[in-house]
Amino acid sequence: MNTAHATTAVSKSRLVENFPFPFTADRYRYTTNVEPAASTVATAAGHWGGAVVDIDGEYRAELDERAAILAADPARHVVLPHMRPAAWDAMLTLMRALAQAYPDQMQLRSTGPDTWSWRNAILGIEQSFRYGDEASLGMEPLRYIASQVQEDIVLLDQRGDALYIDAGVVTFAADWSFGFDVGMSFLEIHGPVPRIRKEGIIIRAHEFLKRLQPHQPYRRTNWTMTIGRRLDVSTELYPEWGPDRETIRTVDDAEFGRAVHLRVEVQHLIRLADSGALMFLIRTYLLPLDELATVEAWRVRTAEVLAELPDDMAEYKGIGKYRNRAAQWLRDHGPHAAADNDRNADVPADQHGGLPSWGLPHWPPYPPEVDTAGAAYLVVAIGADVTTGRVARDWVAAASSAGPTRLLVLDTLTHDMDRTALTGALDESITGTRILIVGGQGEVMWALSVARAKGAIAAELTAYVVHTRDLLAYCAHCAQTTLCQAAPGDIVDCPGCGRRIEIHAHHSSVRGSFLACAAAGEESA
Amino acid sequence: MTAAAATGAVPASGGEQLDLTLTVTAITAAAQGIRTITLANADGSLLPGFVPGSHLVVHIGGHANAYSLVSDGTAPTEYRISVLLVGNGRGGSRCLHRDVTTGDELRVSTPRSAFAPIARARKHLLIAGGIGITPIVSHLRAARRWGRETQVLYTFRPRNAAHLDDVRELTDGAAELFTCRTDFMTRLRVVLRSQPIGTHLYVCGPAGMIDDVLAAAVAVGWPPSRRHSERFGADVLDPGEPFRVRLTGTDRILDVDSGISLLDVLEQNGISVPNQCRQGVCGECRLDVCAGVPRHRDLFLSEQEKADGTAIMACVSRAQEGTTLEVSL
Repeated sequence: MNTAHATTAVSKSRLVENFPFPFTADRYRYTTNVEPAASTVATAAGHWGGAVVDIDGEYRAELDERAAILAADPARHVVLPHMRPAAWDAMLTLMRALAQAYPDQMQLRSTGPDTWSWRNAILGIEQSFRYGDEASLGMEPLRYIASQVQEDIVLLDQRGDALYIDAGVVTFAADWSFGFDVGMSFLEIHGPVPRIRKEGIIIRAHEFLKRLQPHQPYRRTNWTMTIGRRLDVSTELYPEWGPDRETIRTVDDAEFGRAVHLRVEVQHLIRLADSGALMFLIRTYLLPLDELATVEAWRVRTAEVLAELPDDMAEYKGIGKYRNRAAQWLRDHGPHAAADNDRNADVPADQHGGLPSWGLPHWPPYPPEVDTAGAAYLVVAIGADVTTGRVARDWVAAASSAGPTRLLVLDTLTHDMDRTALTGALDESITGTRILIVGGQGEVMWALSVARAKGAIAAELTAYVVHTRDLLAYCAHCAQTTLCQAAPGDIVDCPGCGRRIEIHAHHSSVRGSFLACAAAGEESA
Repeated sequence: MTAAAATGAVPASGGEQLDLTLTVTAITAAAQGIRTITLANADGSLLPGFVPGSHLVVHIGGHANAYSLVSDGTAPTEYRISVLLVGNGRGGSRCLHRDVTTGDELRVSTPRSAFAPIARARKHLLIAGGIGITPIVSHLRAARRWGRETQVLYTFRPRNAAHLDDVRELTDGAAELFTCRTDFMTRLRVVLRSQPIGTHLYVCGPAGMIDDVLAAAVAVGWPPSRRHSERFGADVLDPGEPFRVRLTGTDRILDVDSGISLLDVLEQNGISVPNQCRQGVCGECRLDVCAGVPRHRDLFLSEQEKADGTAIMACVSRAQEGTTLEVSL
C-alpha cells in the first residue's frame, strides 16, 4: 500500500497555517527561551507545536532530499561507537512519538522480549526488528529513522559535567558543519555566537539541559534567513549558496520577495529514557517574504525585528548584506505601506560582513604547574624549539618528585613513527596519570586530540604552546586536515581539493583542528 | 509479553514530577532485612523506560523515600526495587517491609536518573557496599546488553548480601566478593592503581564506605569527573516548606503548601504571571519582592540579585517555612 502525497504542488495556505512564527516582540535578542513541548501554539494564521515530531506536505520531498544529500556526502551521518545504545534509543523514541501523533499512519507494536514491529503507512513500510540488533533492521538505526522524519537528529552524550555532540544525522544545517563539529562540547560549538557567553545565556541553557529528565520534553525556536527554498545551507556547500547573499542585492523587488525566506528551526530537547543521552530534533521551516507578508501581524513585526537587529547578531546570522532591504520590502508590501515607514526603528544601510572573532583556543600565558595529585606522569615534548625543551625539563623535574615520570620527545606528529610512539605511551598509561604536552600550537592541539581519543579528560591534560604560528586546518569541502603555517583569517590552498580556503575562528578540541571553507569569491568546483 | 500498543510514553506537562499508581505483583526476601518488591501497571501495560542507575521515589505512610531500580529499563512492564529495613529510619522502609502485600497499590514517581553510566568510558569499575549493590545491578544489565567492559568489587555482611546470583550471572562469575572490610580495601587499592586510561569509577553503599573508597581513589590520582557515587537518601526531590504570600496590590494573602510552586498557587487563584520554562532558567516569571526573605532555587538570577532579595522566580523559588513573602502583584 502506498499513499503518496502530492507534495510538488505545495499548498501555500498550509505552509502559512502551520508556520511557527518565532517573534514574540518587536525586537529580538538571545534568551534561554526553552518551554515545555507538545502544547499547541495559536498564531495569527493558524497553529503549530502539538507534538514533538511534525509531518507536513513536504514530507516526501524532504526525505528524498535527505537521501540525496547522504548519498553524496555520508559524513552528514555519524554515530561514534559509544553512542550505539543512544541511536537505538532515539529510533524507538521517535517511533513512539510518530505513533502517538499520527496513529492512523504509524504503528509500533511489541511482539516479544526486545522484538518490535513498525509500520509507516505513508511510505509503505512494514519492518520487524530486534532492539540492539542491526542485522535485524538492515541499517544503522539512526539512519533508519532519519529516513522517516523531516527533523535533523543530534544526540548528545553527558559526561564530566558537559554535553558532547557525539552522533547525528544532519542534512539541513544552517551555516554550520556537523561533520566538523562532531565530538565538540555544547559550549565549544556555541563559542562563535555573539553575546550569549557574556550574558550567561549559554551557561544557563547548558545547566538546564543537564538536568532534563526523561518523559518531559522541552522545545525552543531559532531563526535566520535563507535565499531560495534551500534546506541544505551547510558550511560544506558554501560555494554553492554563499554567493547568493551578494547577488540578492541586485534583483528586482518581485524576485526579492520570492527568493528571501524566513527560516525557523523548532528544536525539541528530549532526554532519552534508556541510554540517558539527550536528543535534539531540529525541524526547519522556510517561508518566503511574499507569503509572510500576507499575514499582517507577521509582516509588521518581522520588519521591526530585522531593522532593529544589532549588527553583530545580523553578521552571525549571515543576513547582514540584505536584512535591511528585507525590512524595507516588508514595510513596502503591506496594505497601508506609507504608515509603516513612521514606525519605531529606522532602516539603516546594509553593512558588509567581517569574520566574528570568537571560538579561538585559550592558551595559558606561561607554562602551567604540574598537578601533584597524579599517580604517574607523561611529559610530551614536540619539536626542536628551545623553549619546548626548557619547559619539558622543568615539568619532568617537578613531576619526578610527585610520581613515576616518563618523557617522550617527538619531532612532529606528521611522522608515522612519532604518532605511534605517542599512542603507545598512552596505551601503557594507567588511570591516575597526568599528561603534559608542550610544542607549537598545531602539534600540541594534535597531540591533545590523540590523548582525548584514548579517553583522557581535561583534568588529566595540561598544555603549553611555544608559538601560534601554525595550526591544523580542516577543509569543510573535502574533509582533509593539513598542518599549515597560518592563523585564523588567513587563506591557504587545500592540498586535498585545490580550493583556496579561509581559516575560521572556530576550532574543535576533539579534532585538534580549525574549520576552513572556501574563501568568498571562490567559484564552486 | 502482550502485543499491546507501545505508546507507553507518559504525556508530558513540563516541569512537574509525574506520579504513577502501580500494583505490587511480587515480594521476595532477597537477604536478611532486604525485601525485593516488583511493581507493574494493573493491566500489565508498558511503563516509562529508565536510564540505568535510576531510582523511584515511593510515597508511603506520609514518607517519600528513593530506591534504586534493579530491573531492566528498556521498554519495561515492571519495576523492581530492593528495600533495606532501616531500624532507625523515618519509617518508609518499615512500612514497605511490614504493611505492603501483593495486590496493594503504591504511588511512585516516574524514574529519575542521577547515577548514569558514562557511555564513553573505556571500562566501568563498579564498587558496591551492602544495599548499594542495587544501582550496580542496573548498570551490569546495561553493560551486558551493550557489551561494555566492567570490573566489580562487592563488599557486604555475610547474611545481608542481596542479588548475589544476579551479580555472578551478569559478570560470568568474575565479580570479587568480600565479607571482610579490610580485605576489600586492600584489594581496592591494588585495583585502583591498575586501570587503563579512560576507566570510570562508580561507588554506592553506606556513606562511610563511599568516603573511604573515594579517598583511596583520590590518593592515586583519580580526577573528580572519573568518580561517580550515589549516596542514598540525598536524592529525594525537596518539595519545599509551606509559606504564605501577600500580594501588595490587592492585599490578598495566599497559602503556598509544600509540594506546590508559588506560580501554581497564583495561577490557581486566577492571577496570571508571564512564564515559559517553569524550571527556573528563562526569567519570565520574575516577581518583585517587597518584604520577606526568598529562598532561591533558580538558575536565572545573579548572585548579587539573589543576595539583594528584591526579586524571586515564582516557578521554583520559595520562602522560609511559616514566613510571609510580599510581592508586587
